[in-house]
Amino acid sequence: MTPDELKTTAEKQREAVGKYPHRVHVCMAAGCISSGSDKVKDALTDELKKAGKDKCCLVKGVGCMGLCSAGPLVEVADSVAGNSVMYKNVTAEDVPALVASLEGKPVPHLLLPKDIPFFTAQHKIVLENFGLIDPDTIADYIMMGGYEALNKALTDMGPAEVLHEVTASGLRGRGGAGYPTGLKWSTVAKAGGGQKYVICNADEGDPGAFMDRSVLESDPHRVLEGMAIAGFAVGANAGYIYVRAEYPLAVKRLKNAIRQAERSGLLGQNIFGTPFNFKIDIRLGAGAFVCGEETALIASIEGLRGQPRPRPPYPAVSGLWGCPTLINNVETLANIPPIIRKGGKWFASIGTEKSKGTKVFALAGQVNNTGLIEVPMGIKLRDIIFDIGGGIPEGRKFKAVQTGGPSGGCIPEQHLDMPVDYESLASVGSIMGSGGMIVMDESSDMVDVAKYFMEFCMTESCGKCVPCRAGTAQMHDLLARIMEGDATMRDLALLEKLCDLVKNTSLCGLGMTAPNPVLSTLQYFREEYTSRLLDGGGNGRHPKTAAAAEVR
Amino acid sequence: MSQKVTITIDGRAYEVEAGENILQICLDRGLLIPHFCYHEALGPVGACRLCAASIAPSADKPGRLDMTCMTRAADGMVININDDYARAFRKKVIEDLMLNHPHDCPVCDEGGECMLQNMTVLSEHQHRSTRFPKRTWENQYLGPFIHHEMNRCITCYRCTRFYGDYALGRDLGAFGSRNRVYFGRVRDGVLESEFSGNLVDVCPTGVFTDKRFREVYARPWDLSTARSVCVHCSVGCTVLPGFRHGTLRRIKPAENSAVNRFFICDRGRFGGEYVNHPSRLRSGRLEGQVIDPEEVADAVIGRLKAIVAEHGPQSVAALGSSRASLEANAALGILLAALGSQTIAFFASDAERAAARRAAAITVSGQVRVASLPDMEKADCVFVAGGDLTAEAAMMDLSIRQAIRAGAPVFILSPRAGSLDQYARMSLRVRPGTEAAMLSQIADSSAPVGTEAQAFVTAARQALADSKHPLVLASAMRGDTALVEAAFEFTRRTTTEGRVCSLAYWFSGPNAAGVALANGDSPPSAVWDGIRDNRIKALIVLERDLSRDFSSENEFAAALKNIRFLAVIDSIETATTTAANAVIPCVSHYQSSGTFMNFEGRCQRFAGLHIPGPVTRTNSELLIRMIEALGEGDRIAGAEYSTAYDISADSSLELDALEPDHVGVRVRLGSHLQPPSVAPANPPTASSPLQFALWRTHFLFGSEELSMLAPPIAELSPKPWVEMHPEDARHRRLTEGATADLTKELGVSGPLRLNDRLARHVVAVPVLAVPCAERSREREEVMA
Ligand SMILES: Cc1cc2nc3c(=O)[nH]c(=O)nc-3n(C[C@H](O)[C@H](O)[C@H](O)COP(=O)(O)O)c2cc1C
Ligand code: SF4
Ligand code: SF4
Ligand code: FES
Repeated sequence: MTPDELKTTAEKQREAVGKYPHRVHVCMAAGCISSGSDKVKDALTDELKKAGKDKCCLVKGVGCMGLCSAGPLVEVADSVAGNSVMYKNVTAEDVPALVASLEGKPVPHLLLPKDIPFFTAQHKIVLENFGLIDPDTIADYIMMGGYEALNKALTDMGPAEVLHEVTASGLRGRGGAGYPTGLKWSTVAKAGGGQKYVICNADEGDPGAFMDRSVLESDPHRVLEGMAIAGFAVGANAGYIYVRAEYPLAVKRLKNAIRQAERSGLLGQNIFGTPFNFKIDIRLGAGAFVCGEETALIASIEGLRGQPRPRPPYPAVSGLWGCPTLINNVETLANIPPIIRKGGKWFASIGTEKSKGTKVFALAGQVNNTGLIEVPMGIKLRDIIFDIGGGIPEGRKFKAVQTGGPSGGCIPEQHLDMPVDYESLASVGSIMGSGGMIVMDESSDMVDVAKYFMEFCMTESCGKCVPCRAGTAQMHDLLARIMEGDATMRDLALLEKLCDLVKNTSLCGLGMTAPNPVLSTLQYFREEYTSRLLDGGGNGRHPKTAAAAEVR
Repeated sequence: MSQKVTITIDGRAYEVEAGENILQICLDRGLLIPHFCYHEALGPVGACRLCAASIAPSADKPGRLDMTCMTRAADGMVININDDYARAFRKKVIEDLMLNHPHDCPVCDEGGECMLQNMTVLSEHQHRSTRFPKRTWENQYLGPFIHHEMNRCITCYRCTRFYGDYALGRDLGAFGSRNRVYFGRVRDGVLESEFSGNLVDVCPTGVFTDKRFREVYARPWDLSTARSVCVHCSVGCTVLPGFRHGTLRRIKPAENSAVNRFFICDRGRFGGEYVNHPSRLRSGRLEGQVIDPEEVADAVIGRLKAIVAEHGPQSVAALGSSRASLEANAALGILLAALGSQTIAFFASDAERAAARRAAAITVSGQVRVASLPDMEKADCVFVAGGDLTAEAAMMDLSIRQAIRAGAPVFILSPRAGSLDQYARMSLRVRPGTEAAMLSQIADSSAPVGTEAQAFVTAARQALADSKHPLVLASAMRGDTALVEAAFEFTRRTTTEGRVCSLAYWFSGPNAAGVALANGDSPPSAVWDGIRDNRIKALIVLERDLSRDFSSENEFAAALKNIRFLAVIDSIETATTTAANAVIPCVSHYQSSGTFMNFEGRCQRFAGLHIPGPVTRTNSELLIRMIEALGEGDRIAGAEYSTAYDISADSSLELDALEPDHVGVRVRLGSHLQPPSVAPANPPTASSPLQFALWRTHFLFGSEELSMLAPPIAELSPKPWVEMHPEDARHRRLTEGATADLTKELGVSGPLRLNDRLARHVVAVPVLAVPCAERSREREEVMA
């Protein structure tokens, strides 16, 4: 494809879509499919044909629209009037009514107002095409400006300028640690010549997290484009996407996207007629959380046991098969095309001083609106939970919000007005993490929460280094004992000692962060622990023990 | 090259090399830091987290807890091993390491040399604060060498790092994750690696222990040990045999930085049990009469004197041995000289002698670079020709595996694939005797290449062109002088500006290189022709089973027919001792002192252990006694290494001063490098390519006579068979398991095995050292 062909493709697609007076977008991301959106889409196609309206109404499967809890979501747009309405919880039975409403009034009982904060308070960069394009159609992506950034990088800019823009954007890694992306790219770019690789980390093992999966399912080309730009900037000609096998839909869409991009010459040899070559392969992971850690991921691609190794050397210096390797998270790479298109400065204007741009969160737990959201860095936690999230259901009281999954911490009410950025979250004992956000209400048992995450870490510990391997198992057993009311102050002291040990001395991030859920709940909800100890001096024994005492 | 920097450890300044491993620096200086996963040969992985200390980049910066094994020395670094936090931390880590350990120390075979115990004491851990149940495991059957006791595992990964990463074994792994990692095989079965025994030393606890030692366990400190040199091949690894109450209990590798470093192969470790075999000679014998060893020696002298008096001095000849020391073989020569004869020979055939002599002379000539084991690890391209390296010189193979790990391509030229072939870049299956021509083709890029070998030679030439330190390994034990010559030529030709090629030959026995340098020896045919023609009436044999040099018992019996008097000095019963008129028993190798010269011309002294028993004399002591009985004791006093062997006077002096705890000295050739004094016998296969050539296949377990007397080795030795390429078998209408009778063509027959990794038109049979146990048992019964 030449730059000109890219333009014509975009125009043609716009025309093709624009000629329909009506468009129906059905969410075809995993969440809505699981509640039956594929059937809704089929029913719509049939019904329109029956009604003879298939020439004036386009049915399109699109990516995630965010409010997964209300799925299947359907958006009906009227090109002539230039407006659209959103429907929630749509079933196949609702389809005749929807079709009937095309020229008339919207179907009231399905209506999902679009002016609620859930939609208005978001700021979409990574998710900009979500709900708008068909992930299986490359032309749809191109129509939205896709591959323009790659074209610009290859034909108008050089690797150095690309690096400059990415550095200027202030983008930091979205995989968890928040390492400055520009700095990482420069390190790989500077590493001695020869073979280099780009790896897209799509392992996404945090329980409850599905940001990366959604990006791959809803806008896969964006990630491919980001990888190609990265390859160009650092001097790599090959890339791997490491994605867990539990994401079959994402894998299918990725495969399709790679094939389309190759066929269009947007991946492969001499992209846009330049000397730049780039190919992308998919590698499936078996779903071990630790395989998301970069050195374990690399070992896994190499066919070895997926266990981390100490760094340095960092992958940027010695990674896949000993070659300099750039490894970035899906969301990090998804931010690249808009940064190149609109410039680093534009990106840096969003967010806080040290945390630029937006962040995608998977909002879950005891909150009214759960689903996928993208918010500017610096937004208050309270705004996320109470505006976007619509608050706690059934008027119950908020207790804590957990960010960062098993590596993160629980943040209580008193910190809700804190801005969401890397440093602030760390200062209260949590982390940004990859974007899991679980809201807990007053009914939550914090020791149980800590135990839940510890069980996850214990099970997912790769078993290489002692502190994590033996420490998580002991911490889990201690937490279980506290839950059962069988523990003493000594056990609590041991738990705290283990937290210190595991945090400070584990080999990789899994172990180093595993104590965080315990530490933060101990910090903010200590009495929930002490009140259960046999000699706790709290306000009572655990019910089970108390009951046992009574019987005696 | 290397830069010196100053670092501070616990308040004292040390000058060290920049980039050196901090943990190793400390250990070398006696500053003990507890550690598990670090091993000098296996390197650091930073997994056990035990070696932590407080480390600061400079005195003005605060120290941070870090793993010393993962830290490299830099100028100004300040290390505090005794930092309070670090100490408390290590204490807790070791407690966690032992979380599941069963504390079965009183019944553990690791007792007395348990790294876990040592590290626990070093880490000051005493109190166990956890009170959860321990996880338990089922053990596996891993074969006759290794016992498995998984509950003792502390999950340090040393075993898989040695077995898989270092020795490239594929059948032992880590299974599972989190706090339940299992180290073993997919299912029960004999460990496949030829180096599995090292698991015993590498595992810091009692998970992998020496199955044989378990049976006859003794506390390690109760074992009598003395550094010795392994007797089972020409590599010459340093070992530590341990005796107790008159029996050998086990063999461990002893550290030798110039040879085997930390490891030994399973033949070396488990073969030493031959010492306890019932067929060990326990008394002297003269014409069927059991008498005291010394008495036999004296009687032999009487008989020999009588024969000399009757038939002249040339009627006596001697056969020396590649498994006896330089000293014992020299003493045999002196004894012969004292009787007035010179006819002493060392090898099985004239061809083997010619090849070995030429190879030994090249090795110590100083004309090419000869690789030691550590040198081999650094080669960046390796050519192996003429045999199965793993079976014939196993520890060389382990060194080559290190080169492979570092990326060196390996090219193998041999008739039959061995264990190393699975890691080779390319192998070419050739007819025996054609390796020399192939090597020359690789070295000479202008030589034309036959179509069959095209791909191999092209790839080998390319790899050679890309290499800076190539290495050639060639067999000197097959009697193929052309191959020895070709390897030498290869080395010289490919050593150019910017490239140094090195060379090593492997030989037929632990001291084969030594006896190959003997001055004034005769070709074996001189002895056998003399016997046949009735010129030689008496034969003195030192530690050798002559029957192994003949293809059948009948041939052997026929060759001995004319001998009037056969005297044998040996420690084990063999077909030869059974046929002898006089048997003078000596103690086993591990009870003898002496010197072996290994494949690289390195002489290592070994100290014998005096173990009480019916036999107490070493072979040398017996020979000296015999020389003295002739009134020629002065010959011993005046003997020099450089008169007995073709080595320089300087080397001779160095050998005089050699101590057993030394890494050994490499000797230099005394005379000039001459072409072999004896024209090489015809190469083994002058036959037309359509005829079958015979390939006697050596095995690590089964082909060497001493180790074959060790029960676990015998258990793993192959059964007799005849092997053919499936295509060849098809042409002959033979199927797997059928009896292949090739007696007429090749003198072999047996059940057929098909092997597509055997050269075409080659028939392979295993070389089997059949122990003489039955014979000796029968004899004992007769005696009783
Ligand atoms: C236990 C563990 C699991 C991780 N899992 C992921 C993951 O699923 N996805 C991811 O992008 N990064 C994950 N990471 C972080 C990666 O190691 C790495 O930092 C990241 O992929 C770098 O990309 P970024 O700079 O774009 O964030 C994980 C780290 C640890 C310690
Ligand atoms: S911290 Fe845990 S997951 Fe990471 S290397 Fe250690 S045992 Fe494996
Ligand atoms: S078996 Fe031994 S060497 Fe292997 S991990 Fe366990 S303790 Fe370490
Ligand atoms: S010896 Fe350093 S971490 Fe194990």
